[in-house]
Amino acid sequence: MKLDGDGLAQLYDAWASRLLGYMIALTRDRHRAEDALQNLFVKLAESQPAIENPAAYLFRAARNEALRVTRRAPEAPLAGLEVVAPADESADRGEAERVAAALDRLPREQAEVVMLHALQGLAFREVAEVLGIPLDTAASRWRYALEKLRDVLGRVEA
Amino acid sequence: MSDLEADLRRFRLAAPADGLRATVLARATRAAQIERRWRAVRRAAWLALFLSLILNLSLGGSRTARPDPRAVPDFPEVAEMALDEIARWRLRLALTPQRTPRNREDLP
Repeated sequence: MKLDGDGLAQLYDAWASRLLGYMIALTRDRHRAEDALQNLFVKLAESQPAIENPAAYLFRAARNEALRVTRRAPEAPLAGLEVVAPADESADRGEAERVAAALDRLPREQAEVVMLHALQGLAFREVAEVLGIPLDTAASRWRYALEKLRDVLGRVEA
Repeated sequence: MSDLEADLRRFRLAAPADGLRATVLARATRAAQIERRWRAVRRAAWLALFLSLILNLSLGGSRTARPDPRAVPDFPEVAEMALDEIARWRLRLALTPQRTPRNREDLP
């Protein structure tokens, strides 16, 4: 993918919303996340990287940038930031708030796997690449996260 | 896929980014232009450095062969200079009229 003016605009249109949601979830601050998103696109424009897997590359870069701008920042709850949004008609805003509140109660490393795998649709291989962890670790974090979420959300596996 | 996973997939993690689009793309495009210019400057600087290095290396051999004006002349050259100087003095002495008496016999 060539990142000239049009390429960058296409990349923005395709990914910016999801990246911003992920960055807000990591920084817990919309303004910081917006700064991080700007920095990310400036760096992409400057370095013109050859991107083979946009999902893994962009989420990893977004994570690095979000963590960079959020050092020593206070931890705010994810619930209330409205970054967990209904993806289809079958879910409503209230349920989205419940999911966000449940994510808040997970350890950060497990919450990140849930965010990337379930809410962003990344494969485990991509999640592992984004987080810089082995594939097995990503899968086990996902299992632990599901167990905790079942407790938190009061659901019973059918 | 478990029910819980299917339930989670009904949600997405996203935030509207349309309001930022113009600003982000303008900044990114500007940054890309600056980076391109900076790269061109760096390339030119490296090229100049490389060329000067090549020139230095290629001129280095002939420079050592060229006589150094500060170097002390070798003996034959000094001798030749001295002989020339003596010859000049002899000629000057020969041409100079003898006004002073050379010995007692010449005195009035």
